[in-house]
Amino acid sequence: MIDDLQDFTPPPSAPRRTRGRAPWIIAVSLLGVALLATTTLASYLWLVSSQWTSQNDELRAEATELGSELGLAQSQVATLEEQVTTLDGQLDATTERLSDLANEEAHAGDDVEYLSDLIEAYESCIANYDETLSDALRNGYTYSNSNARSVQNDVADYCDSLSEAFDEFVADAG
Amino acid sequence: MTPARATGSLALGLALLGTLAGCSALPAPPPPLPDSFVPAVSASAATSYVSEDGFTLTEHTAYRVRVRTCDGWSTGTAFAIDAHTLVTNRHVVEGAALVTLTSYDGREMEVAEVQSDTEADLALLTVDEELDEWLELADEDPVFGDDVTVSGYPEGDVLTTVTGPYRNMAPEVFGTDPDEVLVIRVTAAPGSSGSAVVNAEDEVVGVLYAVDTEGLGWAYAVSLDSLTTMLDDPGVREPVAEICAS
Repeated sequence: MIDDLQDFTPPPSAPRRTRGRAPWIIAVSLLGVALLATTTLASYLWLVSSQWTSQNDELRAEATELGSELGLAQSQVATLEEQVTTLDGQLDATTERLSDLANEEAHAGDDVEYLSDLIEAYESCIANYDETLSDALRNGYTYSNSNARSVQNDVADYCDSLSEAFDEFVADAG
Repeated sequence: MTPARATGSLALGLALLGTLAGCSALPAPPPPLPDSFVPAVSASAATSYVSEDGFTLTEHTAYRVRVRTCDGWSTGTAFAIDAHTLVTNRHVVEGAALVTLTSYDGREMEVAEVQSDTEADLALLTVDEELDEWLELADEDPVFGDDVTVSGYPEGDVLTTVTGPYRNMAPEVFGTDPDEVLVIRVTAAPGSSGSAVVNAEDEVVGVLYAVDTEGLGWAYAVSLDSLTTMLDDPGVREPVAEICAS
């Protein structure tokens, strides 16, 4: 029985124990690595998230400021548009008035031109009368009553036409 | 290794792999913000013509013409093409003994020299005074449908500006001149003769010289070709200097 017992060699247990720990070590290592990776990832995500949040806050502040500036600018534009419309109307009225004045001046120039012509013609008329009269007085013997009257009538007709033209001009001028 | 442990290790490995694979789709940090969100404004408006008194360039350069002939007087329009030269129609200055110009704002000046074109209904006026502004000639004719503008003094009255479309080229309406003329749809009247016909850039594309007698709103203008020929070739110009018997 003892011999039997001495001869009995139990199976080695140590290698069995070594084989049983290795997967745990690997698993724990893997878990450690995974934990490290997850922590790193979480840190990175937290960092990125805080950067986005910070920029979002910045953009929101900028947008609010731009919005208020836009509101102010729109209100100024509306006011300026009203002023431009008013000034446009005033400018139209001014340019129209200026054109009217220039036109009146140009017409006044036309009238001066016309009246100068008329005065010249009157002068000529008076000179003709004067010449006819002097001629008749100097050379009375060459004039018969009839041709003296004829010359006088011609000059008178011409002078009458000038008077008519002047009357017409006055009537046109109102 | 027992199957249970192997499965556990595999699951862990896969989880780690999955976690690492997720890194490829990680959100990037925000890009830096620009210095300003307000775009730069272009100053293109500064290049266009800005009038100081509400009148356009074409109106600034349009002059009322008063022509005194030996037996009366008439009116027309002329426009400046440089500091001392203006263009109008030949028929406006025909038989002229004295030509006087009035600007849009009422300034008067006498014309020193008149030359008329022997072929087209055009004439060139020279003044001693220095003119402030003038029109440039266009490089090409208008095309069908282009809006053209005419500033002149119809009936010798108030300066009037009208705009209408260009239609086509047609034979000279009175049959007296060899060149074709522009047909445009603008309201004009005697006195508008000699007005510049300008395109949207205020460049001369013709010189108005006739209107239809049926009141349909058509007007006719001497072409850019005829105008450039007169300006370039002194041979087609002859002086106009009527001397009236006193």
